[in-house]
Amino acid sequence: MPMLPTRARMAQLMELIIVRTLAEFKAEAGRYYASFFWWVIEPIIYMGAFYLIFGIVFQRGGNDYVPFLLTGLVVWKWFASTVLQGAGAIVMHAGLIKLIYVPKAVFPGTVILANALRFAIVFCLLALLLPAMGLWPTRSWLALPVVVGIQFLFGAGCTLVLAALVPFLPDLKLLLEKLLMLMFFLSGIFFKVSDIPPNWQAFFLLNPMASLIDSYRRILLHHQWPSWPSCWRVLLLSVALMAAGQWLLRRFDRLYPKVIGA
Amino acid sequence: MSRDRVDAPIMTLNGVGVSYWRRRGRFAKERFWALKQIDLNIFPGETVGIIGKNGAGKSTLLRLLAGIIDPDRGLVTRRCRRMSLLALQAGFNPHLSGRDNILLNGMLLGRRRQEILARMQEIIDFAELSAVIDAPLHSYSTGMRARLGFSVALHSEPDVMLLDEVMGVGDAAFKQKSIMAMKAKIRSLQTVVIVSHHPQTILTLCDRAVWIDAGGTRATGCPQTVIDRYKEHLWPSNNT
Repeated sequence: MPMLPTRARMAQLMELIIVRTLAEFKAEAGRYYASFFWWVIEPIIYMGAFYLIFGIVFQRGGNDYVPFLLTGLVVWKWFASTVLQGAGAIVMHAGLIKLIYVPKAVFPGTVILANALRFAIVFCLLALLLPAMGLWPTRSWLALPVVVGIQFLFGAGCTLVLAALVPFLPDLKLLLEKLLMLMFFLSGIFFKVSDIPPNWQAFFLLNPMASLIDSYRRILLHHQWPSWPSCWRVLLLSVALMAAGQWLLRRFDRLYPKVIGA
Repeated sequence: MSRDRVDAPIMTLNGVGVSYWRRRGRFAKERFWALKQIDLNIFPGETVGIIGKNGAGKSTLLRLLAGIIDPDRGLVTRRCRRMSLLALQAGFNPHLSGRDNILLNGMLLGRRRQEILARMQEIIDFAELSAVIDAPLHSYSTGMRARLGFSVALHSEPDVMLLDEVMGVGDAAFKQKSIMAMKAKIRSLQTVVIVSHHPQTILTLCDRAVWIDAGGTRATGCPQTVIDRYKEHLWPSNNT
């Protein structure tokens, strides 16, 4: 592949990512009885736990606590799964990349695409469930594709950068697990931004995931437009991360086989 | 078998070196040159045999030719797109059918999806697996997997085919068939680089031989001459 013009190379790369993603789904379906349903079940279990603690024990949830929790958890699950799997994607294929030249972006790329498709299905289920809880679609739902798109780019950007760095700094993967745990508590998944002291709110929303989750909730639960300035801020950051990730992956494309599993 | 070399080389290595960092203790690292000084031309359509002792740098050289790694010094010039090491069964997924694995493996070897689909039947037929091709790979025997891997690799037809030994796979009959097919490919217009321990392989199959020793090219040229020098280096007393 090395001497192909850029466009042909990109087409081949995308084709490989798509075929690998579909193959992964097929393999998963053949392997686990409830393969896909784990994706639905996990947010529901979490929701049950948080509902029990905050909704029933502390009596703090309010009326819409179930859709409120579900929105946060589904969105978070997409981000966390993509980043965590993607960070180890190149290292996981150490054997393969020592045998064959494969553009390294293929590995995080497959994780990004596969998780986006899984999220798409779970999110559609959520969108069908909301009217059943009295939250009917309004005009503000038109902003959903924008927010979903920004989250896709943000997750992809983080994943590419991490996938590119983890082969050199294996400890980063362990650090990431702790960081994700911390971020889970700081992204307002089970509490409202408005519950935070006012002078801390702006600070809190600097966390891109907190601001994205807040945007989803404005749209789905409160029939409002998202806060556009914070959307564009996350978009800008995402584009920068993607550019950096791609640059790193290309820069070290033929170095990874030498540093991994030495 | 020698051909007139009117063409320019398809690949050129000029004073190429490859180094690895070896860990010494927790933080200290030591640089180690697996290839020190390699000069090599590969011409279209020829078969080049690379011979050398264990640890001479043959595997590193194959990786370099395959474009898996870059040199740390010197220059590699390529005038071709796909140089693949025939890595049998690379990327095979046991939970997918033989058919899906052909597609994935073929794409990893650098082919486009359409090209593989067009040759799918041919690949299945060569591997003699049409009866089970839609069953998951984990239900295959080791021999069946090896046949499938060999067939995909054989049909992937890179511009330069890189071989780590010429090996047959499967039972006695299939081993014979696969070696014959590989040899037919080598004798065709396919450009091939073979790394081997066996002087006989190089003598019978190659147009040109290269002897690699301690990370450098020790001799290049007619297989008989190079092999004779290599043997004399290994067993100096035998020739006196």
